[in-house]
Amino acid sequence: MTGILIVTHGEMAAGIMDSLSLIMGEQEQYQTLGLKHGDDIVEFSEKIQAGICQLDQGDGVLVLVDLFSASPYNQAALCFNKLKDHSYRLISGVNLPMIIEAFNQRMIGSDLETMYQAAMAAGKDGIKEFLEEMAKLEKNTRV
Amino acid sequence: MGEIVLARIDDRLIHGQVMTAWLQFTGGNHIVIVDDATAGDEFTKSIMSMAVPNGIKLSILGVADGAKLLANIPDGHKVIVLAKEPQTYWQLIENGVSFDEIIIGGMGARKDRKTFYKNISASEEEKETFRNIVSKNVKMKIHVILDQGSQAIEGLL
Repeated sequence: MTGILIVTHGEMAAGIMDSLSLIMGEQEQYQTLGLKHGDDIVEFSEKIQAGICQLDQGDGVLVLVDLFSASPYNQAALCFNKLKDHSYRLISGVNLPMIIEAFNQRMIGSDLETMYQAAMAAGKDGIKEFLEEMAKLEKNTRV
Repeated sequence: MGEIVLARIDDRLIHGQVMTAWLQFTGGNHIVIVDDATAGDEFTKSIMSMAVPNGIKLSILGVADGAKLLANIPDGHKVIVLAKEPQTYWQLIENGVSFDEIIIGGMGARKDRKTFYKNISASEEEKETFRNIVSKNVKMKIHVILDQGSQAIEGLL
């Protein structure tokens, strides 16, 4: 089973898993990490590395972070060379559609490659605006 | 001759907050990271470079090369200097770079550090370095988040 690690600024990682459990029930083999003001960045990096090592049971780990090029992303990227024995994929811009898809894919037995691609697509596809969607609907019914 | 528009101490060097808010506020167009370890690590350099918006120049240099650049900044360059530790700034000063002001943006709770002010931690050695820097008539203040005000460090030393 692929591990899932969610790393964000503040409590978002724990919060998004709280939301997920409401929708999909309690999950296993995942971890959440939050960066707080005043945290030591080296220690934070070590927690990320430990998380990846613990979560990898041979099928790799999907790492989801909140912001591209911010600290959770940078630290998860910087340890790439140290974790050569583990395979992981790192996606930024984590949102609820993305993690729902990730856990769904894992549930149906998808491998890490399939999981990360599907999660990324779902994360992007989950962003919509109401009136734009209404306009699309009207256009489609007219045809 | 160009100028230094911001000199910041931050464990994390480049990260989201530095890039977005401070670049806009200072009008900086050239980020100069001074850190010997980072300068010698191509992989870390490539990750740092991902964070830099288009149109902003990035240099990642060791102390010796950093001092050379900062002592003679090319025309039109508005430089944001980033270093992990106050010692780096002290070395730059000793190598002939002058600073009007250095801000402390992020110094996390490392094992050898104690709380200095709110979320900023510093070791005894680092506090000594602050004193040395201040003695060169460089203003030092803690300024973590752009729109949340700053705190001069003189009274804290």
